[in-house]
Amino acid sequence: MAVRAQFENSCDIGVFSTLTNSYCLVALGASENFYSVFEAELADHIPVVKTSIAGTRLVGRMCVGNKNGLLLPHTTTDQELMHIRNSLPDEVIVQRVEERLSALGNCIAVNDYVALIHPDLDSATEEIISDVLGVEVFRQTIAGNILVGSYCKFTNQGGIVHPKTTVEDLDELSSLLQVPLVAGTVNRGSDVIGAGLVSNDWSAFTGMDTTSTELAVIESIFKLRSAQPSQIVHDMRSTIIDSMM
Amino acid sequence: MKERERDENENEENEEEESASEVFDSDDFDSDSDDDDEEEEEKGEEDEEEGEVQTSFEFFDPTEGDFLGMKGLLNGYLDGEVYDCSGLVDHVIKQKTVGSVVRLEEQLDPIAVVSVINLQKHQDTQFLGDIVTFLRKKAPTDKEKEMLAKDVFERKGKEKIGLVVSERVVNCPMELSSPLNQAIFDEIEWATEDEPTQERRDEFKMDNFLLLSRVYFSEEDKVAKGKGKKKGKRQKTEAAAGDIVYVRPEDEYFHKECDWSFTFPANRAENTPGLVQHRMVMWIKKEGVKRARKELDKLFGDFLPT
Repeated sequence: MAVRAQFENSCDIGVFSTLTNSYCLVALGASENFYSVFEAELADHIPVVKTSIAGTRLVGRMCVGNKNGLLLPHTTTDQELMHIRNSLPDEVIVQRVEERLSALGNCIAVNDYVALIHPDLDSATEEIISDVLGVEVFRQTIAGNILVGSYCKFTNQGGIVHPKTTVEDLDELSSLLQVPLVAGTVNRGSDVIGAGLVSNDWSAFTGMDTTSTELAVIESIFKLRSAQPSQIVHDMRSTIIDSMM
Repeated sequence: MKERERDENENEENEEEESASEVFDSDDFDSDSDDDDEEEEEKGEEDEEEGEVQTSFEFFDPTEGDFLGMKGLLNGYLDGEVYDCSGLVDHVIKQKTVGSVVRLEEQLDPIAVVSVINLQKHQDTQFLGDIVTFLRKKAPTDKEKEMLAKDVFERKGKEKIGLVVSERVVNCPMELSSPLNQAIFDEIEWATEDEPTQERRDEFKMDNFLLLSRVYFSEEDKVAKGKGKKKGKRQKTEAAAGDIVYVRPEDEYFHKECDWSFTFPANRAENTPGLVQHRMVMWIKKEGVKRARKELDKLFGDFLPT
């Protein structure tokens, strides 16, 4: 289900939070409202961790991760690193990356299988991404923008990209990522998708200003309507039910 | 240690053209190598030659496309406090006839917005409720709370009050202030004649205006204010205008003509040393606005119809 939320006075949810299939990081706000929205939806299934990164609340833009791992910028303090490591499940590898472009959330867009990265990212970082997050890495731009993490958001089910992406680009990206993509906006016409929305395979959070049309697009492309969290979090067990008459 | 300051002149021509030039301020210039000095100088000279930038500012009615830009401008309206900003922006956009937005040519985001909201008519909206609560909370003494209550909140008479919402980006040129004020106050008058329904015409027959704006006090004033709020206020009214730095030029004239005003310290940390940021609330009558606009006009050229 897609939920509207607000961080203090800002509708840019993606700046203050990171959401993956196995954990969620949330910034420390003045009030508990933001955190409680996430808790209400997610706490039953995955840990929701309150933290800061490099002393800032820009948790969503500084770090990037998926169910396998989490990458933090070199500006993260040791206490923050310890806190995050302790709070996340053991399967998740937490790694600090020495990279000049320290806003990892703006430079990298990732799901559990593929990553798109900023064309100028170090090759050392590219290797770390591929090892820690367990993904295939592609250097790409989105509608001519090099900040791929800001202008697109994709999960294992689907993705949204910058509204000015051409149809050819959309097809190319879709075949790279192997998920359906749609060009759209969030937060009432904002084209910075990555800042305005966070999502995983069964839930999405977007800013208060998002119109119902935008929300409908989000729900349909990320396939949220029929999503069952318990099935996705734990391994799918195929059950064969025979009805005996 | 060498100290070097370079000032470049800003040429103000007319409302359409704007010359933007950079001001170089290299105060603590601790350079070990001579090469650095020369580099800095060269850069400066280059810029001096290319100093002027011509821009034109265009005024439009607010449209849906301005939503995000306006939200950016109005987010800090209540000094960082959380309020229904989207509701306010929505209202400004819907109220097309009264309200203006300034955009630079070829740019999409507005750099200034001005609008007026009838306090009585829309008192049930979330954003007005938030603004009213904020003002009530921030009025520093009982005297001000009384003034607010008497004139604004509990006014049951026929006179209508308009909340003037006027925000612009930090470096907005001063020349814009006169046309912006012309834009809003003239539109109010025209609306009282041109609006299709009687209800809308009445909505804009406003006799009093409430303004919320930003001012700076110099440090010495702050010390005096600390001793006693009433004392500070008297000192403020007695003091020359030099003690208060008005961010927007028209505020100085509105302040002179207003019936009453009060200030409270702003939450944000001050960026300029020696100046403390405050927010000022002013209550001004329609006639006061006319007088203030005349004064403003003398400074910035004639825009008022004779």
